[in-house]
Amino acid sequence: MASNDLTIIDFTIEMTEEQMCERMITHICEIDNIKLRQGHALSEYNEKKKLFRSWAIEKNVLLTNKYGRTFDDLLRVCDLIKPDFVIVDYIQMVKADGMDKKAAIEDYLIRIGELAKDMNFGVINISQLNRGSASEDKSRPHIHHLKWSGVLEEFSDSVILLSWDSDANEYTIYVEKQRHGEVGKIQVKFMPEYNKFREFTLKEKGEMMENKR
Amino acid sequence: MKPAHIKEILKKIIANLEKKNEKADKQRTG
Repeated sequence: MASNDLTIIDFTIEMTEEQMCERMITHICEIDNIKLRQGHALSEYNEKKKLFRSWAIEKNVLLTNKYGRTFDDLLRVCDLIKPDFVIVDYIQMVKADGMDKKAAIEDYLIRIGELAKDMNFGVINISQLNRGSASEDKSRPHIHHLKWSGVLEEFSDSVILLSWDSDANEYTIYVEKQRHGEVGKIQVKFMPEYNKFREFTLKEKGEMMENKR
Repeated sequence: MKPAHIKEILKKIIANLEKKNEKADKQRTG
């Protein structure tokens, strides 16, 4: 994701640091994630380890499941580390100390927005969609499906929604809000074994055009 | 105390992989 001199903090609140690191290994080295989890990928890892080690060691990627479990702690860590980029996975998992959750998220978004502007770093807040969205409109998610949508929408420069077609193993990425550019959508292929998106090949694009006729 | 660098986490994962691999090898060879 980043060039070598950037510091990224990934607050992986839902997963452990090891689980997130394993996902990165499968993604970068293209090692099947089930084989890796079951411990059958050592020789494959050894063949490809240079690739991952150069990526992991050269880049300043910090993973944490221990910090950032509350909004105050998350902001404290950002203030301490002075990162270039922050990923919060995911925002509804962060605990609010003595505050209503919606008010706490609003307060957090204002404070991290100010901090990000002052310290010049970017933030990706990952959010759940309301469960109702799947039954209400099966074709695609909309911005109002974001849990506590008003607050998230208001305080974000960009809002990107993912929609998964499990039969075709394809995702549609919708750019629903873009303060500094265009909105739109793009379809990508998903490779679940590597936790990876890829663009369609020319052959696949041709087949899609044929099917539309 | 601060978040861990990915290379520190990688060490744990590889140690775990080596352990699992050793166990699988033992099971294969009886």
